[in-house]
Amino acid sequence: MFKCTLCYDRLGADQEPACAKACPTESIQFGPLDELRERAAARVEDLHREGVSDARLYGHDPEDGVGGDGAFFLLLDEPEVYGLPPDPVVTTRDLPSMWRHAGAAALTLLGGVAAVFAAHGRNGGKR
Amino acid sequence: MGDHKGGKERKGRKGRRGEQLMVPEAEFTSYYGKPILNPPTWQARDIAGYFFLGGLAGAGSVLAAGAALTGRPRMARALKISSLVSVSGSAAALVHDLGRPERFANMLRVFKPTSPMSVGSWLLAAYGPAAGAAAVLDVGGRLPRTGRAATAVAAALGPVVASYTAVLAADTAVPGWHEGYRELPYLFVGSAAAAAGGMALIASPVAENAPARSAALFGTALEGVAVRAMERRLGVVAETYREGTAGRLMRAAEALGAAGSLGGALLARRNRTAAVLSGTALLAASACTRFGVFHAGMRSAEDPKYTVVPQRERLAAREPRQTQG
Repeated sequence: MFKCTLCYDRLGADQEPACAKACPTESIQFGPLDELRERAAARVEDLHREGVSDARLYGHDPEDGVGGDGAFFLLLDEPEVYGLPPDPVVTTRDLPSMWRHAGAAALTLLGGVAAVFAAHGRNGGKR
Repeated sequence: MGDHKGGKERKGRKGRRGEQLMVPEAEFTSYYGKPILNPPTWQARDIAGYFFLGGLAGAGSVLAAGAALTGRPRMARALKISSLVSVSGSAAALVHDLGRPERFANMLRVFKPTSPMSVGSWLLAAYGPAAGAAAVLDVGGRLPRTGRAATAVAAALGPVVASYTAVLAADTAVPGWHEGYRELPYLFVGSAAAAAGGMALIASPVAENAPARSAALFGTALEGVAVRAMERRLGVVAETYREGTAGRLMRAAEALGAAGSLGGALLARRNRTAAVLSGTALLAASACTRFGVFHAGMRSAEDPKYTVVPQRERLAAREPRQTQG
């Protein structure tokens, strides 16, 4: 498994990524983000006007749970129909809270066992 | 999951299309039932085994320190040895998961608090030698002051070793683990305390095992409460803890834990055989819990239902006005 580099080598030679170049329907588009956003919004509007009311963008919002996707999509149905999560949230968002809970659990263990030994007292010297 | 074909059935779309008559309304849609997440490539034996052994070692070190401080030397020694053996076993499981021993050393090239695996590697690197020194110096009878210090360090780090593994699992996109991140650490330390109590029941004389019986009760009760709280929070994802392999393991864990802790509390006071049997049941219960949690998580990652439904519920709760979902 490796991550997409947007064909870094081709970009250096002023070419677009190979997938965008090769795509026969020009479904994969590459360009300045603002321009892409504009084009995508216009296309969604067109589709809505044509009665494709399920058309929507996915992964375009930098404010969503994963800070926006590296590539955003125009979908014609709910994301899960395409095998995409409808409301993804990056797991590390909860990490500080996870560490706090783990710390509290560790203290619970320490305190619980300490209480057990305190209650039983020294061996031989039973209450 | 064959009945959740892509785009054919959908929720909340009543009457949008006329030909939806024969199909019962599905709760969610997916791409032909294919998983949305890539399930972890973890092996049950490595990872659930690591959870179990780490818990046994960590909680065992706390019990060992308590036993040493309250005049129970044989229980202390037995638990120090058990902690050394189990932390070695958990390091072996970790190395097996990583693939090559050098990779563990590579894990120590950085310290990264945002990576539970990095934190865990450092934790293990500090705790392992302390637990080892505590055991070796106790058995060898040398350097009593260093031995006491090592025991104290192991007892201070042990609870973290037992609980951090919950973060390791919860800091993934796996719904069965992530959604339960609040309860999972308590579940893990409860299970760890029960396992260590069980080990103490097996390995120490009846004259010294009173705290072990109480620790086993405490651990089993804590685990039971945490499991229930977690299942309540998980909603539909809790199914993964009730059904299939994970369900069987969780039920076995509950039965064995109850039998071990109650049997230990009632019978292990006088009867050595009963103590050993109770301790064995407690260890088995803890192992079942860890493998149960592991399999529940894997199941929740493999079925798109457990990814989609909670996220849909979250969306619905957040934006009731938006109806395109």
